[in-house]
Amino acid sequence: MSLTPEQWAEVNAHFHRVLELDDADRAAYLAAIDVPVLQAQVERLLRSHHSAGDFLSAPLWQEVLSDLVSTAGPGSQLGDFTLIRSIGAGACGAVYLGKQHSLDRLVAIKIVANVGEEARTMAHLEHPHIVKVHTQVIDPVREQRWICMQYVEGSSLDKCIARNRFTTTQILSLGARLADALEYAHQRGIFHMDVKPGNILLDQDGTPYLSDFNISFNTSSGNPTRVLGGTFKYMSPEHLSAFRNEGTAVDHRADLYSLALVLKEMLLANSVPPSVEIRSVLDRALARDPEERFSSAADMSRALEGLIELHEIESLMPPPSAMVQFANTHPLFALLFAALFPQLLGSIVNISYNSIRIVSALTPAQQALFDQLVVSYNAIVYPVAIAILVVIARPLRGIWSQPRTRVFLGPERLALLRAHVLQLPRWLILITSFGWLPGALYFPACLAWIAGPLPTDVFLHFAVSFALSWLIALTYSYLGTKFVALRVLYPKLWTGTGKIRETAAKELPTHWWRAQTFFFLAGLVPLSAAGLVLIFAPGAPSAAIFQSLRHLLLFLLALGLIGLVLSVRATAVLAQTLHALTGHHRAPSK
Amino acid sequence: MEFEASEITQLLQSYNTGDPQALEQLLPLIYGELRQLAAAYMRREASDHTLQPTALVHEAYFRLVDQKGVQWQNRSHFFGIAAQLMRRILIDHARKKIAQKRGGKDIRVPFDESKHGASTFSDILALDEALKRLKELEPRQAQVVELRCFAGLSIEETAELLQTSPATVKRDWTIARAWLHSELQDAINESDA
Repeated sequence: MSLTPEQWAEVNAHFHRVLELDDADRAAYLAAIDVPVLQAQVERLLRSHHSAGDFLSAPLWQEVLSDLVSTAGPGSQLGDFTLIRSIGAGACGAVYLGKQHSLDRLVAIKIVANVGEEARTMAHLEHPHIVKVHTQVIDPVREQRWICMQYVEGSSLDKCIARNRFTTTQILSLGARLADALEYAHQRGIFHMDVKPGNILLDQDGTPYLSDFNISFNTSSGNPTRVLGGTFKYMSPEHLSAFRNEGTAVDHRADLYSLALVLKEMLLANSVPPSVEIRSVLDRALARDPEERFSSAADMSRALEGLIELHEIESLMPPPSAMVQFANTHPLFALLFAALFPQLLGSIVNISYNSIRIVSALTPAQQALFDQLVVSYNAIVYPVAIAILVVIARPLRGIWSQPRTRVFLGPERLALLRAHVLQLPRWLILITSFGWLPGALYFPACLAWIAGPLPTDVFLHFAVSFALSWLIALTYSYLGTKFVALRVLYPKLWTGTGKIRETAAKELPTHWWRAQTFFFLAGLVPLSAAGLVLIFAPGAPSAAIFQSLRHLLLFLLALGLIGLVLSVRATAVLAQTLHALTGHHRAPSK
Repeated sequence: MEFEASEITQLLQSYNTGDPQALEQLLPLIYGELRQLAAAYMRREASDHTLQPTALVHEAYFRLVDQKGVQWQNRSHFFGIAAQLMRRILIDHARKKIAQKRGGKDIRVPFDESKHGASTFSDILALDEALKRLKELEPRQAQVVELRCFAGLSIEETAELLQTSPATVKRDWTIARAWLHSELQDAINESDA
């Protein structure tokens, strides 16, 4: 029955015509309309006209007006507050931007049904990272409660995650701030129980605010296992099973789990994968068993702050050379190498010197005995030294294992390990001395006692030989282990600790000074040894002995030069490392 | 709403110059103003609920327009927009209410039985559709309905606005009303079938 405008115009004309006629003439007129479609329409309109009654007699505005008044929306006013516009919808109510007239400020107004305790729960909480609740107004007519709170000009974290990338430091900092907020609430017996990106607001500066304690509860107000609601995605395991009425206890640590999950989500969205330390802290917070998590939000906050500090420190550390990179992945091997390789250097010096000054002065019987003594001595000393080294290195064993099997060591345990690591070079002094010094007495004594009298200057040469070897082995093993301890081991022992720079500054200074003093010895000792060798050199050596002498001197000179170069580099690297750790100097210019 | 007055003026002006989008953007801004006025009116007319939508529209618009005033070409433009906006608000509300009532059958109150034109919301939507069809047949008649139903103008006021005679308006009103009524009856019959 669709008409064209022209047809409609005709219908119009007919209609008005008919109305002017009286009943008798109407029928005739209608019959006279020759187009059936038009006739039908006019008849239809006439019927409708007569039955219309009050149709559209009053404006339709009534409905809308009463509707406008009965629902709260932009423009509604209640007491001191007027709604301006909608800014979101929470789980149990809409949130509006509103204005508080008496103070002429913008507020956020959440409208909920007039049940529950949310506003009262939030009202005691005054923290820089918790959305403040100013007041609540009750509307008895509409049975609503207007909760008026701090307006955070920004958006919620879930929208921010979709839009932006956060740097690692930003994410960790956000986590630490929110952990502080949670600690504040937990201390007052209030748990949030719905930590998720939708409940975290970020303002223009990126400051986070925790909001929507709408299903949280007071420890004074009820049994935690009766908590309902919450978002499953971020719920801790014990909360989920409580939700299914499995009777598990839920406490503040559920909030820590949810927070860690939020941080993990943000970190995984980054292009840079999180470091081992960060993963280790988050894994702890995400442990299934609440007992294994951080025991308080404060602990978690400190751990996160520690990670931020660590991140900064690591960016200031010198770039690892190939050697250091190897040592990072095989720390115990590096330690053993730094301890034992210098002993071999000492042995070279020892053997060389002995062959120059001592062997020629011995009888053949004594020479044979001498070889046996060497074997037996080393057969005892080396294994014992290695055994001692393994024992002192054992506590460090677990630190660099795979993350899955890694055990999270608390700050106290780590502090002990760090102290242990800093003592390692001292152990080397002991071990090296134990390994070399007895030889100075053992060899001549055995020779004299078993194989007949020895010329007196042989005693002297044994003393010199072992003293030189001892000094070289000592210098390099001490410096080597010092370097490995400070550059490789020590910086790794900070996961989850806070106040890194402050603590490091307390632990390090004396060690640093000692290291600095000793490093130049790497060059000095071999050169002095070369000098001593010359002083004690035989007056008129045979050709073979002169060759040995030349080799020994060249070896010591080369060692001295290499030592000099290495010590300069090592000192620079260590200086930068230690300054990064203690924060004493600004970062070196790029 | 003070800080939004100039924004509203801007939009009204762009609507004047033919931008249809402006209407879309105006609606949410106007809602707020209407709410406040509606509340005030309801309070004042609490006894007998006889609201004067014309006055409301006048007031709303004068409040919405800023101090400097908008250069209206003619009063009909003013009311034309008002009526369209009221219609839009009503339709949007009806749609929202229907969406809220998922699954529930709303009570039918046929037009000719109610005093205040109160009706079901789906009837309002049917009316809107019918009005759109009427506009294609004779735009002036659709406008008459719009002005009378949504802005609440009388026959004389409408005639003055459209610059025709009251008789013309009366005739337009009569046939339009008849037609809309029949269209609506058909719609009701269809959905009842």
